[in-house]
Amino acid sequence: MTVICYGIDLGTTHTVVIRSEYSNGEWKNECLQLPGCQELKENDTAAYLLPSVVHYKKDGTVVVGQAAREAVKYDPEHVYFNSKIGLGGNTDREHKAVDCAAEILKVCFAAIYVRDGENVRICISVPAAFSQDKKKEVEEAALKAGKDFGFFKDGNVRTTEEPYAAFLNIIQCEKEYYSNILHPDNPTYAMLIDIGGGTLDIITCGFTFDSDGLHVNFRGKSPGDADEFAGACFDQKLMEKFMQDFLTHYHLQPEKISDEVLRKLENQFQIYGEDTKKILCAREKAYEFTPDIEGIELPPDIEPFKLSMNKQEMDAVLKPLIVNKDGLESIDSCIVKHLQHNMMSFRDIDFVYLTGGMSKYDKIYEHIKDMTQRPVYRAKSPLLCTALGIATAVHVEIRDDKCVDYFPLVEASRAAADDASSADPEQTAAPQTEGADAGTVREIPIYIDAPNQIGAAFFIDVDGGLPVEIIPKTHKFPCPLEFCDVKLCTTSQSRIDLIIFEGDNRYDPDLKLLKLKTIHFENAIETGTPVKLSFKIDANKIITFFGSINGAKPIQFDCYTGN
Amino acid sequence: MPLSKIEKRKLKEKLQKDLKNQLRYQGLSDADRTELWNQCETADEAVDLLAAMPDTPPPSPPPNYKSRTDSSGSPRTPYQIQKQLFDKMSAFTREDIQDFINIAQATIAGNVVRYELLDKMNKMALKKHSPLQCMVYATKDVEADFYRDENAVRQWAGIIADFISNDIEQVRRVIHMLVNWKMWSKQIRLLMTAASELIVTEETKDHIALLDMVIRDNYSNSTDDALRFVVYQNMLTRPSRENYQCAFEILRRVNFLHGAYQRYIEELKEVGKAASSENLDLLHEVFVSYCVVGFGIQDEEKRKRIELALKRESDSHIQDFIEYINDPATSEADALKAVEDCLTTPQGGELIANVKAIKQHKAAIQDLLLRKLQKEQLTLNDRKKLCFSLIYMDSKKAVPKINQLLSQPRPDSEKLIYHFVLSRYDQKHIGKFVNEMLSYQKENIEEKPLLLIQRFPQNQDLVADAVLQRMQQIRRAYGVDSAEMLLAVRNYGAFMKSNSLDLYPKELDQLLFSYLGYEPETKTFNRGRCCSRNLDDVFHILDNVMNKENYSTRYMEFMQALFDHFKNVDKSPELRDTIKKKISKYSGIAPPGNDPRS
Repeated sequence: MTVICYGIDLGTTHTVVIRSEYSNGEWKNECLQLPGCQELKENDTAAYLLPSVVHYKKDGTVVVGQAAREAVKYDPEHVYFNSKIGLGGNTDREHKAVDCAAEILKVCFAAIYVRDGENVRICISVPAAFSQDKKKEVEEAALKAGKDFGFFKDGNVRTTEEPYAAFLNIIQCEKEYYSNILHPDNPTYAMLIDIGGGTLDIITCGFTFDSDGLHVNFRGKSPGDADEFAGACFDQKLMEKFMQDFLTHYHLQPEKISDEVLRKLENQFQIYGEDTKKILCAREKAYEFTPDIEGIELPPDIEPFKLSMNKQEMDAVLKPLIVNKDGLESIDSCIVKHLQHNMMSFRDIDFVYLTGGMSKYDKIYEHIKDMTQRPVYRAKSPLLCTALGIATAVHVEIRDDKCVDYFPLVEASRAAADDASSADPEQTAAPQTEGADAGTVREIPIYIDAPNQIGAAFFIDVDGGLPVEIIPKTHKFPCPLEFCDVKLCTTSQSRIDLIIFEGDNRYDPDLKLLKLKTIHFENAIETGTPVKLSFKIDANKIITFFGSINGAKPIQFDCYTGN
Repeated sequence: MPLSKIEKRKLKEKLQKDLKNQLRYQGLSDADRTELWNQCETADEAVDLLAAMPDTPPPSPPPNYKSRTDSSGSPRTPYQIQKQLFDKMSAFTREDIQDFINIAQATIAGNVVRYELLDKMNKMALKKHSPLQCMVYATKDVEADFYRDENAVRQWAGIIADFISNDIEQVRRVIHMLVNWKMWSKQIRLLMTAASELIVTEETKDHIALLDMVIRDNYSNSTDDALRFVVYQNMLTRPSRENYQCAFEILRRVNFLHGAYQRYIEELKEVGKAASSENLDLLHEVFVSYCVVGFGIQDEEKRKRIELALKRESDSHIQDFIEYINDPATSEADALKAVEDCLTTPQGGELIANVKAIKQHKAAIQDLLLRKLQKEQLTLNDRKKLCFSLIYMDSKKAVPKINQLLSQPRPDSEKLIYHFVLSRYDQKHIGKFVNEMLSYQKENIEEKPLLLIQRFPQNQDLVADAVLQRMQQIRRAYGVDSAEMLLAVRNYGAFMKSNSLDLYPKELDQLLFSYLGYEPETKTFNRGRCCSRNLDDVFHILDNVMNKENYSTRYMEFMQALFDHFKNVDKSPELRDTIKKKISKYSGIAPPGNDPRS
């Protein structure tokens, strides 16, 4: 029996596709080389990274990848980078983040289609820190992009939260890191820090191996306390340094330069910032480049110059983003906050595992090591780690209330599980290599505690009171339409608004605002009409809200209705 | 027990070794930082200690450029929209919320809760938790009754404003709520009522400007009338072109057919009455410019009502006024009354500029001005108006009266004006004025009228001579590195800012050079004297003096030595770049070897 699955790590700066094939009782993973990647040798990881950059050319064509990235230098107005950050929000720019995500996914889907046709399983990553709206837009982008290739015909897109996927991958593939510190009787606690291009996700979990397989207990009400604080922020800091050097060299004052020119410079320096970080993290001594100054009015008596940065300078510039100072957001403040939320301390952690592109930066590694005083391991392939986990996670399905069976391919997995239960756990970790062949994986059953609990409670705003809980954090998903025990009435003749919050309880200082949901009425409805609120949750934890007005059929929020 | 010399030396050696190691990783632990400070008596000494260590990485200042775009290339707003309802500084517990709910209920019941509320707020503040977000959130629990009660809202708003005072951290907390709590209009109204009571201070002015921007951007189009009116009040409370423009924009959209406008117009009248002349001028100016684009023909009625609300009693063209005074038919008594009235209005400034045109009743008007000058209850600005009117009228009578005022105990700022007036009448008094100006201790040396000396070109050489003499005198009496010299150089820099080059005596060059500890023979500087603070003072003066014509003969050698000095010893690249820029500007050639990295 052969099964083919694909995991897409739709990253803020890069996108990776992993092909996972099950045949002859074993899984084989492979990185897919996408059109738009850099032309490099096959065993270079960078050859499999598609820059998540979209260029909407003036002639109407759309370019994705390396060529689009280059276009930042001459057509910044029409180039969209790091657009994943803007998902779920409004933009002043011509194209929405969801459209950019769809264009990137189209490239991935085309490559998948060419390789294996339409009968494949696909799973796409979403940061755990993503809000409901952001996750929803990833689904929308996938549906839009997959339509032409015959994917997702049933309208269901499968997504997986990135740090969980990365964790599942390390548990399986990088066991040599933790095998010697496993507690024989008690759970071993690992903190996984996924520092990607646009999001920072932190999860802590305890795991135990026994004769049944691997038991995992994820702790924490919600990971990713500091989403949108990651690699892109570092690039921006470097960009600001380059801007300052550039302006100083030409004796320019920013307030005297047009917004268009500033934007052109900032966009290209942002890309150079990303390159600088990449090159200096790879332990090169210095990086230099000549800025594109075409069309920019500069003092004629000053010679053009090369902007440069060495490792020490980069460290100095980026230090405030790593080390907490003056209460500003930094990597270490995010870690501390995560522990505080989960009422844990560093002593509760057995080891720390770093993944994501930024984990290659030695200062982050060193600081986390100093700070936690715990063994800190870096993923062997930090840029592929999550994608590998996602490809594997395609098989995750809920078997009953309490566990997730990793390999629901019944016939094959039974045999594999039996095999694993009798084997030395040490042997279940297979070697993994960088590059096209990302390795083979032997399966063991994995049991996750409370895998189908939503994890965070949801509240709505009501007139004359603190927010009211409508979905408890222990609520299970997926779930069919369910009514809430809350009294709602229309406050306007033309619409009803639902303001939703996410958090632990209504006295929680970490309460977050989710997007406002609305039902617009085409015909006026008397103010004060009772509305019965209901919701359903899909397999990706996306919640959809409905309102029944005057006992009529439920209508989805965020829509117009003729009722 | 104090450390022995040997122990101290050992400690220093150890520290140096440890620091070097830490510096390699770009980080100092708190403990070593403390130890470093304990070792060094001054910051300069600590910096020298670090700089002296071999292999120490070059200090790299954090970039101070703030990008216009966010990390996805989209335009960035100066304030951040966040998902978090409460920011990091606003932690609270369920009990805190309950306490505030109880106080809110007591407020609704008609109790005065000021001290109770302040006590609770201070308790939270002691734990380093800002109470603002917690207390405003708590009002949600009783919002129907609380926000119906205007007194309750005003009471809490006042307490919030008092608590914020001039603490920028608390202003930030308010900005967070204004940006992220848009869905809670009642709570926003409370915050804006509090915001309208905030007093702008030097510390808070930037943050309050940002707060105003947040209000303009997010609430000026509010469809909630109660909220929109508070926005309007806020905009009129803090005078700025943008705020006034926003207020008129709100007025334009208010429906004048339904009487709701009346309270808007009343508010405008009140603000107009209470505004200072400068603010009233600005309000008029913004209104006039707004009329061009804001009010269409259909808004004619609205425009007239606003004009009426803003009308000033003395609103008449100054030329008409002068004509009225010069009209032989106007009696002396009427002329004097007209002048007196005019001086108390914003048109007073315009009158001063045109006072020369007065031909009739000159003597009587001069007497009137002198009489007024002797009154105690006058602002500095009013005194300036009167003095300058007298100068323009060339009133010789002013001299004895002003001398009389000078002999009385008066504030320094006032005396400086009198010295300046006297220097206009008597060249001998220029020296006195210069002495007073160079030793003036208050910060308002830049008061505009004091700098008007450039309008009297015939005296400029005398002023320059007096400056040189006084500076040399200070040098002889107190030394070039004295506090007196520092004050004189600073005051002269401020004075020169809006004055001409002719007020500068060439001979002062050498004195300023030696102020920085410059030795022309060795072309070196005294490190203690040649610091960024002193350099700033000197450049305040020389920036108005140096040009391409005099650079090569008078400043080139000094500037090159200065550049070399900072290239070799200073750790501030900004200073080096500033000097480099000046050299390039005046010589057209950038100094070589300017990049320490090369």
